[in-house]
Amino acid sequence: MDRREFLKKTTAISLGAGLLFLPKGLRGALVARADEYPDLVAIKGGKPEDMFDRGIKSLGGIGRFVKKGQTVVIKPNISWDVAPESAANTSPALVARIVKHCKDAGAKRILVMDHSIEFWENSLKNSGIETAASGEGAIYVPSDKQGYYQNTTVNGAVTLKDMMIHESLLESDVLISVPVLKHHGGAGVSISAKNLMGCVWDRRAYHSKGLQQCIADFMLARKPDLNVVDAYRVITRNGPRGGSPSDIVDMGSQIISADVVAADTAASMMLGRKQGEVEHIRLAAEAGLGNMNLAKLNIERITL
Amino acid sequence: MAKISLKDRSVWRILALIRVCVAFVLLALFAAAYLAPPGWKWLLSRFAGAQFAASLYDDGILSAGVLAYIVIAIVVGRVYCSILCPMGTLQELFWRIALRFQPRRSYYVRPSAARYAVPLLTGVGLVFAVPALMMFADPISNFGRGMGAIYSLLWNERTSAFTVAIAAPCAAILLVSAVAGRRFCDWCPVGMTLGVLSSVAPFGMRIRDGCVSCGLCERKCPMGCADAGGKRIEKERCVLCFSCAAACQGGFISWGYAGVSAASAGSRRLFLRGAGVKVASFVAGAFYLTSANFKFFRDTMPPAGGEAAMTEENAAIEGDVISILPPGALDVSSYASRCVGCMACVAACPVKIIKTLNSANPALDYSGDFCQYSCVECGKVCPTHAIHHLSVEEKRRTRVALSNLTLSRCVVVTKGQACGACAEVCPTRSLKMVSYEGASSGLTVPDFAEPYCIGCGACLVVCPAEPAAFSVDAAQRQSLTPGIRPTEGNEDLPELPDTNDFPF
Repeated sequence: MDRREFLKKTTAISLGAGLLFLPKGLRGALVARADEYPDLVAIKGGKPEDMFDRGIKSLGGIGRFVKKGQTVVIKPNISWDVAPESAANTSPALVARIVKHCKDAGAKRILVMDHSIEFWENSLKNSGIETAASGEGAIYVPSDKQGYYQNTTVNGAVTLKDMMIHESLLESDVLISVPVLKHHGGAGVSISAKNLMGCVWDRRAYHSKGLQQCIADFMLARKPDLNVVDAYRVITRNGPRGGSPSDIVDMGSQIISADVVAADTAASMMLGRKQGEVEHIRLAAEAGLGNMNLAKLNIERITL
Repeated sequence: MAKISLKDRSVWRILALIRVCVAFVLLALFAAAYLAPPGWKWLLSRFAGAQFAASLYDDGILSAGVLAYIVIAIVVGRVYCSILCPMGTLQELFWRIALRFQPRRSYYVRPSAARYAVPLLTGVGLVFAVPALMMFADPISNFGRGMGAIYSLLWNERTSAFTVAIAAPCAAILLVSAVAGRRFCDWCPVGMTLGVLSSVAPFGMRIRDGCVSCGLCERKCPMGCADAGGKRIEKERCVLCFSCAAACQGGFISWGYAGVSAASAGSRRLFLRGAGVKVASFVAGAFYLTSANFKFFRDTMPPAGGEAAMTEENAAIEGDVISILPPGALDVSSYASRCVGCMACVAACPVKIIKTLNSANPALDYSGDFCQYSCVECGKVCPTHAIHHLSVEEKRRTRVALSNLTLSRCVVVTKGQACGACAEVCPTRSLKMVSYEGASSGLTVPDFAEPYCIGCGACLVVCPAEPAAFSVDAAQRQSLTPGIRPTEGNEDLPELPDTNDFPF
């Protein structure tokens, strides 16, 4: 047990103990309040940043996930050196808004990272995310060299038993995955779980060891604390890069959940996939990383 | 207030100081432009483009750039050599540093008239589109290879011995300069040509009456063109560093009317010989200036701009194994006819895949990364248009090579597991995942459509199979593809739920 963990646990225990001594009515209100938050929020009918404002409010605000003084890593999809219109990268306005919420919640450092597939500087610049995120005070952490990654063993993994994970994830308190919903020629869909593939150095290892299992295995090492799925403009074929306007469908939606499996399942259904159809989401659910049975979840549907 | 006179030594001391500062600052910026990490290259195209070699390769017998150099050389002198030439300034830097540790070993030097063969031969090379001599003789080319080697050692994890070896002439020039000053400048075709031109005009640095041949000017002259015994500064070789004027205790040296060529003195035989050399040097210089545009190769050479550089004809892929050339290089003969091996493209490539593999003409190496779909940096910095500056649209359609898929090696086939790495990175969708008939588990395998492949190497780089399921062969001649592989109508479109409601 290190110091941080010790402090966390003692705080939790004393808070829990404190609850017992509260007047019954107040105690009930506090406990019930926590249960009242939905497991998943689906929003429709607004700009990505406005949908996030509304959705995170329903989830009790970003303060539920980001505490004062914490280090937050925001992991958007910045794979490609393309303009925001192409829908291949996460919406820059959404990333900027999430940064702003984290800052307002008192986060100490807000880092944005992605191991881009195309040349990272161009991808960062042309995706619009560099300007948007730094405008709100986030720092892009470089990820183009092996030295920025650290060897990590993945306990309980089926195939991805060890990997090189970006150092920022090891230093951070909170990981927020902000994928853009996309069709994916190899993995089927690219949502939050697939988005995390951009946190490792050796993508080829995924492909040679088995893509679907590795995507699920990664989250045994680091599960996102919050998932914000950008389904505003969605590449529905020829993913994950798209390329023609006819590949893109305006869905104008967003899904927010702390449960990566639930978020991915819901988002995959928007691409016409059935519950449990996408292999890596099913494997993640089987590994106990989340709940893919949406019927059992408390879902709030919002139309702006 | 004291009258400022060009005859005043202190004025020349200031001018010499300004000139040294300007030259060293420009050199530092040029070197920094080369050595900066990838992505910091906006200066490089400006500097490389301003070089003499670049204007030589512009279109037209005498392009605006060449004309400007000629006029400046005639009116003022070798200004290019004085401040702009990185090789000249670098030699001077080495010489100045070395002088701190050792006494000067050479003073006035009289180089052989045989040197005029250099611009002549370089010109012949340019006419016949063989810039081999240009590669050894041109200052920017030598400087570039030196910088290229350092850049590669700094930023490229796998620098070949070859890349370092081709910088040897640059190192040799600098070693000589440490001992003997700007010796390379006497043999540089650019310097000689500008010098010949500057010798036409009657103005230049001169030694006035009163000189006692004390030799101070000789001591300070980096070119070795100050002749204290003969009481003259060799105008043709003077690079306007003003060191002599700044050094002269009596203030006898200044810029002004310097008289016609010194060859007019002496015997008739000497005069004739001098005149002969003069004429020969003029012929050599004029020939050198225009040779790049005699263009025996004009038919095969598209205009310098990116427009219409490519044809839509499909590239021939079969044939000898050749290197994959940077996008815009067209074909081996066109590329080799213009490339002076200055390594600007090597230093400019953001993903560091442009390397000198087995020739000083850089080529693409896909062993670590692939050619970026929307990047035209190499063409942007190339000073001689050996790599044409393509528009991004053109570049995205430029086939530099052709990929070749061996499906039996694909991990989907060999291991029965999902992959799709190649189709994911393929920018033109010439690779696309289609359902794999051999499995019912929803696996997909790549389907390759050759006409859309631009040979960027992305598929090869990301392929997890050992050995890779792809090989990439160079195009004999680069050509334009139709662009992105189209997707017809509803092809591959999933059945989407009603987007007006949530499907869960």
